[in-house]
Amino acid sequence: MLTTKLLATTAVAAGALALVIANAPASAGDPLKIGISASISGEWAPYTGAHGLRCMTELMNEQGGVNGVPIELSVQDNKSDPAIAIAQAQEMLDDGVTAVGEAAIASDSLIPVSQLAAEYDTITFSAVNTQIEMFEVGLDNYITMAVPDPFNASATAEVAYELGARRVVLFLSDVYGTWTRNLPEWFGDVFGRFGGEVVGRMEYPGFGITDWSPFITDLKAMDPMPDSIHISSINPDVGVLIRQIRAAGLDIFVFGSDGFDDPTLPEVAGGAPSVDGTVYFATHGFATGGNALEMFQNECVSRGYEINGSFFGLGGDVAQILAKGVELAGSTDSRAVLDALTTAGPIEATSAPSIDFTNRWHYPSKEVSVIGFKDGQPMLHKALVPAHSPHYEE
Amino acid sequence: MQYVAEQALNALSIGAEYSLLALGLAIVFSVMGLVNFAHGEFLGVGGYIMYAMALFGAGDIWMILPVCLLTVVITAVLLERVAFRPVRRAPATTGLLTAFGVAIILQNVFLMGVSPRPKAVPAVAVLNTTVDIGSFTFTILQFLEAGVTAIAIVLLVVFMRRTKLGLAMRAAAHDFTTVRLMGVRANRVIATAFAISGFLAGLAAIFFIARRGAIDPFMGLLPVLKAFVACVLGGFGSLPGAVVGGLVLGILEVVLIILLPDFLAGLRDAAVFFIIGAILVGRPQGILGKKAELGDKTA
Repeated sequence: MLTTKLLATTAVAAGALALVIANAPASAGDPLKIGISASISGEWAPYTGAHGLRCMTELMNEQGGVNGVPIELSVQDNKSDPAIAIAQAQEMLDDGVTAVGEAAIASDSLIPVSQLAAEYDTITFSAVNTQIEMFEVGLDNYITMAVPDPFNASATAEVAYELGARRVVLFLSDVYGTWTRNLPEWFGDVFGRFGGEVVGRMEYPGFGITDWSPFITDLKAMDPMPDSIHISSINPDVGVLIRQIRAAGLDIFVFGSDGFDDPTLPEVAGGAPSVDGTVYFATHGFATGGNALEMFQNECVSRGYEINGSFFGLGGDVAQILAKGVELAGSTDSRAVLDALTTAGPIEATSAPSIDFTNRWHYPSKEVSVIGFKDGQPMLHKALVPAHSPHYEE
Repeated sequence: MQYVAEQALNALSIGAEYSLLALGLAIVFSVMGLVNFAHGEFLGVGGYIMYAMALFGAGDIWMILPVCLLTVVITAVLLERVAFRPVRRAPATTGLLTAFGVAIILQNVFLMGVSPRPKAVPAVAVLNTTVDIGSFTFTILQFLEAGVTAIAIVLLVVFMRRTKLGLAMRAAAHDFTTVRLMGVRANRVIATAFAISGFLAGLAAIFFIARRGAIDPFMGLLPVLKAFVACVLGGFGSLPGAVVGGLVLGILEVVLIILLPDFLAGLRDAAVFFIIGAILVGRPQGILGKKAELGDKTA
């Protein structure tokens, strides 16, 4: 049974990839060279797309690679340190990669990497970066696979209102730029358009908070009490926050962003009673019901990979999308690949049915998955294209 | 009233945690002039041993607590013997670099030996149980943290004042060379300082993990920085100063969370350090630090 399932999974994954490869020029050409300076360790390690990129590259190379030539993938650990990331990216660019990326995930390293790559006329990619900064600094060589923050916030707000939340407190910080400050505000903006109300804002100092009790005491003292909070931060911080909120006897909704998308979150948060029916977050995809992401993840698990939430699938998207770009461009020339991707329309992907880069900012337009919990396990609550898109509205 | 009582206990428990860590840092500094930045990783050792025990089925809290304390103490003594003793006579900067090196090695051991990702450690979560006292709701952990810290400080004071080894450590803090001339074995004094430092870090690890419920390879970095600030604030090398510094830091943080209006809340950390800076301008030696006059022996 297991063997049959494995074969079927492999066949489907191979089939999806075969479409890419079959249309590629038959003659052997230059290899698609991808360089990724990734947060394999350090504070951003739970959110790297590198493992998924590795697995997808492995799968594609088993099917003949791109243009009949195996993809050359170089992965280096930057320990979540922007300075190391930039140095590693420089090395990769000197090696003549078609695309260089991920860096230390945040825009503070991706922007300089993109600027460096621009001098080489090379694509900079991120599997997981969601920040609007990347689309606003005038870079024309950047693509990302992840749902941009305004859409993440908008999808969560829509679901929050549907679930019955009406009074929210926003947790804000400057620690990670727009992701920790603007994303909750966009949530509040859209929540307000549906009829909800932002009844308070709380500033937290940054990452690594182990004791949220002063904030929780403030929450408890509010009159009227909020029925929900929204925070865009990382695990274990958000897990600790949820656990301490429950320990304080507050049965309110906790809404969040893709920082919640870590398999260890429910356990850190205190298990099923702390998260079931009360914790929801928007992220980049969800493996379920035999979708492409589930098949990809299952295949990778059978090869010994550990799945780190939807970020694994985003890493797979990178290889898949770049390969499609090479196919469309008929070349591994970085500029030609980028032009092809940004004019192609919806492109089949792993984390979502499709990704479309044709908008004027070239952000990835895709379905947003809102995740809830049942019996302490994440489950897809709703996949949606948000009705509102704050920040990007004209 | 309930709000004030809860925030007061929050401030006290956060301050107590800083004090425990600062005390561990100060006791080693007072004896051998080393700022042991690997002290934060002792928290990690405690956390990872709890995780390992739970993983291998030894999840009983009464077994986990003593093993955690013992492991951290042994680690501290072992590191003194292997890493710090060889550089004891080297310039202070060498000791500092060694401490950073030990911290990085331990982080990498956690990272490669377990995972770069956070791992849940619910073993001591029971300490987070809430209790109702009248109309007030508190967690057991908050009382424990303040209470155990107070007891640990009292025991430390008794040890330092009533035992020969304690006397030797106090004397060593003033003038190690003279203490050695009196026939006291330096290795024993310093190893004891590290053992006490490890014990205090073990206690802090239990509270830290009970509250946080998770471990990760870099979990010790921020706490040791806070402990360092507490030591400077209280007067580096002064044990009562470390306790006072930790409490003042914890209270300051909570008071500013309460008092700063929303539009200034982003400046909270800046405000904390502004106040600490102002205190240090008035008392450069720290709140309880002894002012060194020209010609005084300082190490």
